[in-house]
Amino acid sequence: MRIAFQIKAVMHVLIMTTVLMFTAVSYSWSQSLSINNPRQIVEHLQDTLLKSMQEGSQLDYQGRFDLLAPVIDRSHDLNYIAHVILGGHWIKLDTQQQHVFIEAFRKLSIGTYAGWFKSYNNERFEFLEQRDIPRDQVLVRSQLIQENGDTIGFDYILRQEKGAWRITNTLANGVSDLALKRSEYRSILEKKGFPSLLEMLFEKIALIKKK
Amino acid sequence: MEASKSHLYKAFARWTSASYRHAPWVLFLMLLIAAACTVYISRNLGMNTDTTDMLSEDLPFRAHIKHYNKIFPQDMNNLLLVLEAPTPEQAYVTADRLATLLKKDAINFYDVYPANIDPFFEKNGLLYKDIPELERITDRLATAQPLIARIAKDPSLQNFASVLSEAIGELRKGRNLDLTPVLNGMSTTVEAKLTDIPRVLSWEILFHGDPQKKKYRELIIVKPRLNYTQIFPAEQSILAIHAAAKDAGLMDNSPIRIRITGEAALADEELRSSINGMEYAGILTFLMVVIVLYCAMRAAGMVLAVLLCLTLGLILTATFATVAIGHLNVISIAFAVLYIGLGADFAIHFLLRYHEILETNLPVEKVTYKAGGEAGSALTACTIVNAIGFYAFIPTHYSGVAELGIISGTGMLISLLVTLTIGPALLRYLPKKSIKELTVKKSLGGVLESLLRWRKLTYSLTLLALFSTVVMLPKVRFDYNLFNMQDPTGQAIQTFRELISVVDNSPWHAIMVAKNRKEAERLTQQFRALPEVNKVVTIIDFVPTQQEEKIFLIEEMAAITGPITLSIWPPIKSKHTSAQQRNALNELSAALDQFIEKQPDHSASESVRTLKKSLIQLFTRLDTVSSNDGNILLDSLESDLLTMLPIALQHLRTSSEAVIFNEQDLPVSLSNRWHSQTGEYRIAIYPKEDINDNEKLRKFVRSIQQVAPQATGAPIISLEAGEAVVQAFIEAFSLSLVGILIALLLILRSVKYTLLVMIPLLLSSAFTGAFTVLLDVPFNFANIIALPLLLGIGIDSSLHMVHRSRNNDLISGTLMHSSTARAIFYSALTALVDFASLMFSSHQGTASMGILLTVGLTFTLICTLLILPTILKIPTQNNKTISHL
Repeated sequence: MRIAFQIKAVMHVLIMTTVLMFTAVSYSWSQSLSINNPRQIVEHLQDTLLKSMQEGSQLDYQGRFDLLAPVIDRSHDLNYIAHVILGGHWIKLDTQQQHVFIEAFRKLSIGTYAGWFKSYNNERFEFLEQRDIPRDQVLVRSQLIQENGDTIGFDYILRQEKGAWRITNTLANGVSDLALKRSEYRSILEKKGFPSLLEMLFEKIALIKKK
Repeated sequence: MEASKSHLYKAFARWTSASYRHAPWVLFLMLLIAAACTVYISRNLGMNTDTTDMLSEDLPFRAHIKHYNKIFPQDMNNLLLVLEAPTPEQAYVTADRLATLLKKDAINFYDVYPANIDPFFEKNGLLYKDIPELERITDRLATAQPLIARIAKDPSLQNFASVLSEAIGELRKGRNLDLTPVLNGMSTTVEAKLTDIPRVLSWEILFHGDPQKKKYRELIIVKPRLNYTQIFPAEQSILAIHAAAKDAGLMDNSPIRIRITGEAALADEELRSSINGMEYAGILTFLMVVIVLYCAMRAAGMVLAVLLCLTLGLILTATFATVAIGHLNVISIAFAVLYIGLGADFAIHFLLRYHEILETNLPVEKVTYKAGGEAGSALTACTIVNAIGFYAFIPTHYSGVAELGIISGTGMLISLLVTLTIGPALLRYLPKKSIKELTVKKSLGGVLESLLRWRKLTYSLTLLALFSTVVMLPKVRFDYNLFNMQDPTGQAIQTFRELISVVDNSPWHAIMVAKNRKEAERLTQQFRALPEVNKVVTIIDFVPTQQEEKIFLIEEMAAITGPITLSIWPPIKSKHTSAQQRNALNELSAALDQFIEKQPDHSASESVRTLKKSLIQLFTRLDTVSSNDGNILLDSLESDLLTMLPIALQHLRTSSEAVIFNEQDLPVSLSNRWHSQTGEYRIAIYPKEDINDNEKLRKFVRSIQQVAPQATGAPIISLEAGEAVVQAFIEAFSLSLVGILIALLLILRSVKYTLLVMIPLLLSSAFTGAFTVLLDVPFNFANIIALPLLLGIGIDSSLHMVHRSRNNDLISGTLMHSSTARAIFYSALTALVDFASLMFSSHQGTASMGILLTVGLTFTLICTLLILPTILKIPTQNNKTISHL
């Protein structure tokens, strides 16, 4: 009788320890995810993208959106990106406008991902390298390998803020997304004004939803 | 009459006779002396080419520049290397290469400072731009990034053309891209390729979105080791620079050009041009002088006599110069010119007098005696007056002129002695017949005499001229600009003028030394407030403001452009056949056509059309040449379009690494030039206008001196030196005139005659001054030396005239027909051709001296031979009075 009780206790302890360990591991794993590993951030993003593609047929646009949103919010520094895209014009906007812009931009960014990554054909991401680049940034290079062997280069630039690494720029085949957006958005802002810019963003979001 | 001859007369007369009698000994002795002196001179006479040294050290501006050069020695005697290239990348790389080569050469150079080329500026250069400019650059880069990312992966013509085709397609579909700079860049490069002046495309400029200028400049400031034992102190250094330039890739047919200027180069060039001028002028002068002398004497032997007297006199005077001073400077070297002008005068007077007396058929010894006595006393008066005139220059601040005064004054005495010693000796060996061709004599005398008849006309013309002169005299001016004196076609001077006219960063700026930072800041503020000042620079300005904001912008830029240089590095250029290249270009052409069709009024349409035209020209050329030539053409075009891309990208990458810095972080080579070890600060003050113009120079300098009297720098020195020189000359001339007046009074013992001698001199001076206004030939550092010479000849001529007419010892009836008149005429003519040849010198200073002397001498002639006799009321041949004996 006593032995059974002891075994139970030991099992209990073992289970507790294991659970604790798991929790600890997963906790530390998620900690390290957000602190010092640009590569992991990118890979986590890419895993989620693949997932979105794989479940694309089952999920609708909104489903994919909800799947990707938390990952993108965490891995991308949308505030910084918005600031860089508008450049000197950012300060000229009042807080409310800035807020509205970031919201719209966020919706568009996540929506764009949701719109692209919706069907799966045995693609996979392959990590190439990580290296330091000027201005305390980190470059993570990878490529998307398609079924037929064609590759698309995906490079990410990450920046550290308050200890957390986040993506500020994505380059597809070397073309800087930030550059494209800056050219386009600033030109509209300067020629037609802020309301037109917002309008353009909403239009684009709507277009993606329709597809 | 005989009894009243003075002691002087007798002394000279005896001396001359003695020389005549002992001619062979005299000549032999003189030959020995001449030889000995020549040897002595060649061993001991030096040349001081330092022009600033010639003004007194007590002058305040000299103290200021001395102080400055001690603390900041970088500006003194430097060479400015100006490199120009069609693209900024080439200018930068070449300047860097050249500077590195020169730095290794410690034998020829103390210091090599490439102003903008330093890894520090490569890295932090963006911080010097203002914020709007940084934003603009970021925008440009954002637009260019997609294009460049793809071109940079494979910098081949084929890829470039196909990327561009795609981009144009996107543009046509309505995508917002700014392709204008790239399209224009390509057109220009293609078109340039088809002419003989190919032009490499500057990607750095494309990145910044500016239109590509014709040329980009880099400056290297070099401090050479000057070799003062050579005539051209900077020659060796300049040769070393050219050799290094070749090593750095600056061949003759390279599109990159190097020009050398700066203080040391300008000085060398000036010396070169003035010597060039002299050589040519020297030969011409000699010929002309011989011709004139022959006209005067009509006997080769006499001409030879004059020349021998001159030569000996020159040698002896040079010997005196060596003994008394030891060296010549650029001013006192003019003594040779002065000596020839005045020395010839002496010899001509004596010889012509001799022959005049010879015609009276007296025995030879008596002729010699008489000629010696008369010429001697006349010439003595001239000698004394001239000598006093020259010695009066000694007490001035302008040591260049003071030395000239000593040498020339003594030269006069030497000339007198030589003429009256050698002259008679030589005469012994010359044919004794009198000058034939009385017709010549008569004609000159006749002309002069006939002019005398129009007394009233002469008076009225003179008064008229005098009146207009008085009106013009206030306009006489002095040109302080040393550059105007140089040969304007010289490379150093042209380059320098170009650098000055680009008002930003002109090398001709004022400088002030502040004892500490506070004073530097205070003075900077005061200078900035002046309307004539464009900008003021101190070391403080090398640390840009708003660095934190700018760093953020640079971070943005780095994020936006991404790692363009790193996607694949080094880029692998794919090989293509010409057919493939041609295909790609055809596609591009088609894309352009489509664009023009669909979007005729787009903002980029003009660039598209221009590129289309250039491509058509290219295709035409490709169709007309052989296929081999076509290949070469396309490969060469590829190189023109794409060679600079890697460098521009590299530079972009480096400049994205900028960090915030302050004064202590500046490179040492820079900070030492602005902040001395002793803690003093250098302030550079740049003018707003082109201070090549004298009035603007004066305004600039004076307003700066109001704020800081100890300011220095080339413009200030130029003005102050000029004023010191003018002051010195005014002092010297005043002293001279007073001295001459006193001497004349003592010699002539009559106020009336003194005045008579002075009047033509004053008149001709006034007329000459007025003429400089008419001809717009201002006085300058060079031609102001002409004035003592004009003084000398002027005095000589009128003194001879007055002396002769007073003594009334007329042999041929009238003064105008006398040997004196002829002597005056020919001696002035000799001097005239002597100096007229200077007018053709390429050295503007020498040329203006020639003009001034020619004009001055002409007026002297007119005043002495026309106006003076009119005033003297000399009886003409037609109105012979009883006074004729």
